Amino acid sequence: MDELRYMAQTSLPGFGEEGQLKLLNAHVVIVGMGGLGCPASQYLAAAGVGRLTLVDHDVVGVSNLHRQLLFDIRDVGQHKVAAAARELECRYPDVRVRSVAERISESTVRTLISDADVVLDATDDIEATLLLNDVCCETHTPLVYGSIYRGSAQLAVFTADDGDFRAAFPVGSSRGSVACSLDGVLGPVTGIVGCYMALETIKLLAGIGKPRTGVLSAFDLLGNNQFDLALPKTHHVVEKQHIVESKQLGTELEVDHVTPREALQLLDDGEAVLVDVRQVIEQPRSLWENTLLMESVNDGNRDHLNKVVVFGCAQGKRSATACKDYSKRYPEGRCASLIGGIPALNAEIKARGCSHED
Amino acid sequence: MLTVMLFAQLAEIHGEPMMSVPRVETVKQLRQSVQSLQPAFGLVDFAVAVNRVIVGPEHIIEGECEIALLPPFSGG
Repeated sequence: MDELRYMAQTSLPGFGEEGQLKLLNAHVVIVGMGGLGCPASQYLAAAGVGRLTLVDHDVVGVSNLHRQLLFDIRDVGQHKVAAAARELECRYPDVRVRSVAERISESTVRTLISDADVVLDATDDIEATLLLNDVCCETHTPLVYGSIYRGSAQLAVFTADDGDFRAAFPVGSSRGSVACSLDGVLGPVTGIVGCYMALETIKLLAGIGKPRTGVLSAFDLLGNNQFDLALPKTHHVVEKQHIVESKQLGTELEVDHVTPREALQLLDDGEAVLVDVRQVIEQPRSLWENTLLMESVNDGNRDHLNKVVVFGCAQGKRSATACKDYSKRYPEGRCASLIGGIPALNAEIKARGCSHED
Repeated sequence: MLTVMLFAQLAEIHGEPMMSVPRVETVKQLRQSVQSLQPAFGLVDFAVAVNRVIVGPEHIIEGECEIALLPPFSGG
């Protein structure tokens, strides 16, 4: 260990050489290497955490680069965990990084976190959050949780004793939000929360400061507000009034929208599939060469659940309806309605000078 | 009337970050009340906090208090 490298933190009262050794001997598992996982892993590696396990099945896309600062244009198309591990080990010689390029699942999660001192939930998937929460409670491993919705964020350290995710949220069938890239996010918002997650992890490992347990912090980073909500220690059960069908609603269901430029970026990055909801005789046809028809999401094939399904029509009205139907049928799926429809996307393709027309 | 603070998707559904709700006794009744005013709230899971403490459905809402509805986020 290079003592000079860590001098600024070992000289911090309450941290010292002892705190540094605790970091060096620690194992931290980070699930999700996006906008939160990148800064969190970087600060933990820089602080001298000895072992990091990075878990993410995704590859780097161009639209990730504005907030996932471990990556650059040469990494596009590569697994995030591989690119991150390479960069972190190169910069921080005391850290050993294990990269796991797979989606966290019921069958793998226990092995992955079996000797972890702390687990970070930096995912963009509420199912993954629930899985990590439950297994961390079962194994009494602290779970540092961060999540983003546009300019707002949530942060907590969940433990079995002081309150966990299910104590905060009586979760039933929430669809949650789609990925940050569709909801819209500023890079520093994810950076701030990722750094907070790294700080909470260091506090837990080194035993410095007051851990953020028993509280859920909600930040409105654009409006400059912070709310700290005390967590109950028990789970509440909330009975759903009834299954809400969109037809019964007095108000319209929320539909996520995507601009032609955003859609094209997601398609280019392989993060989305485009479904044309119009009749086959309607013109102009989509210039995106792999445009699918409605049948492809209705025929029982579930491949589209791995992607954002972008629905396009002539103007954006039928596609919004298709989104609502899709969300009802596949509550776990992610979809968006293409603003301006297929003609607007064609214009974007032409403007880019990269027409996919044969 | 009770004034309820709304976060994130709930504020977007309602169109503003505050909502006035007729006074009710319990958090369970509050959930029913906000959902009858905004049926789309039934599509979103959310926590109810009274005076910055997350509380369960049987919690009694008394006197002047700060009420907030907060859905979980899942972006990262």
